[in-house]
Amino acid sequence: MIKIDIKKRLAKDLLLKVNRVIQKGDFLALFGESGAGKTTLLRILSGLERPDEGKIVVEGEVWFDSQTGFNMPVQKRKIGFVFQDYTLFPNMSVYENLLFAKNDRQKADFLLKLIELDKLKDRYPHQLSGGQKQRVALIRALMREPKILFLDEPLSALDVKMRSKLQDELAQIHKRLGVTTILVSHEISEIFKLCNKVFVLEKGEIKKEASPFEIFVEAKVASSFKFDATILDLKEEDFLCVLTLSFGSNIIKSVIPKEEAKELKIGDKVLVSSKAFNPIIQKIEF
Amino acid sequence: MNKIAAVIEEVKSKGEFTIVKLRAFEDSFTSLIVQNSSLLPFVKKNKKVWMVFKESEVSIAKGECKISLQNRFFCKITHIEYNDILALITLDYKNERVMSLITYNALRDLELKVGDEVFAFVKSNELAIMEL
Repeated sequence: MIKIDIKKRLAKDLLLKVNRVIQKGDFLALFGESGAGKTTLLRILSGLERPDEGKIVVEGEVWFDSQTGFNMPVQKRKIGFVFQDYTLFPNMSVYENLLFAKNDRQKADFLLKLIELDKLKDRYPHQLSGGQKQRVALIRALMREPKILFLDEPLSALDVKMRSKLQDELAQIHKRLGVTTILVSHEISEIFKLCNKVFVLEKGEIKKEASPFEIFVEAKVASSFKFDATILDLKEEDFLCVLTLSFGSNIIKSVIPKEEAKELKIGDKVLVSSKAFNPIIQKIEF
Repeated sequence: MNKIAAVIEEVKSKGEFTIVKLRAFEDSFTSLIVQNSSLLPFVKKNKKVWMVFKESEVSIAKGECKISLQNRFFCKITHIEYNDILALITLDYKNERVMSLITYNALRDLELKVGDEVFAFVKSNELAIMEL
């Protein structure tokens, strides 16, 4: 569990004020306009910036306490960072980059296998694609077994297809390793795919804390039959499009005009809603 | 999904049911919701909202007819697409676009064509309200 209770003045009329708890294993999104304080909050948690006052406790360990004047230096904090621009050392191979973070060959081999890049371990960063570099940056951030993984717009430099692939991979890795992760992203679909919780930051304050579903869709439609589903298939039939959707273990079909399907693709999350009168209910006899 | 902006004129709840009266242009519409209005924070009098309904829930009539449907609005057909089974009809409702999905047989029976003036209908329980 991470307890954050800090204040920091960012400008004359802008005070960053956060008093929240993040549960271990959460995949949290910081969402808000530019200048709302998202990146500053990441920098404070990582120790790159010092709050004016308050306390940060990570899994029972004090990282910052203004009352005692204690501020754990950045290199002592067990954190991992992935930024938008690839930050690999250009003069080191993939493997050396990983071992530089922590000299643990077993761990490096395990993580390389996890993202299926073990064959590229002797390559240098300039021999990798943008997506590959970012994947290496991700596992390098995981080498030191961080208590918090910070992702600051990590995929925004990649094209849509690669981004989607990396989102899947991030979700898999998170599921597998359960590292508490904080993501700064402007992309709602990305947040939907990855995060279980969202902090909405406005002018330095967290205005809302809820699941992506509650933040972005719920309460907007007054219909009683409502769930979020994933698009498994889109089939065009003349002017219509038949969608195959999965929610939980169920698969349903729905029809929309082809024109409306333009914005949709396989893997997208969608909100399915219907009025309460529509479904036909029949008792299941055993 | 068809979407028309409207203003809520009246909200009436009884137990689990709420009936909402709305106005778009000069036409009045009703929406039936299975939820008490106390749990619908944006369903309030004078509030601007979207009326939302599926293409397949829009029926079409040519000429006058008496019918139980409350939501009736006058449109002009601007486009028709069809195959052997279905027809997707695009309607102009005071410069708003509404689509109706009907069977090819219905299209043929009514002899619908571009330029025809028709009534479009939506059942109250098919009309959802969405925050604008």
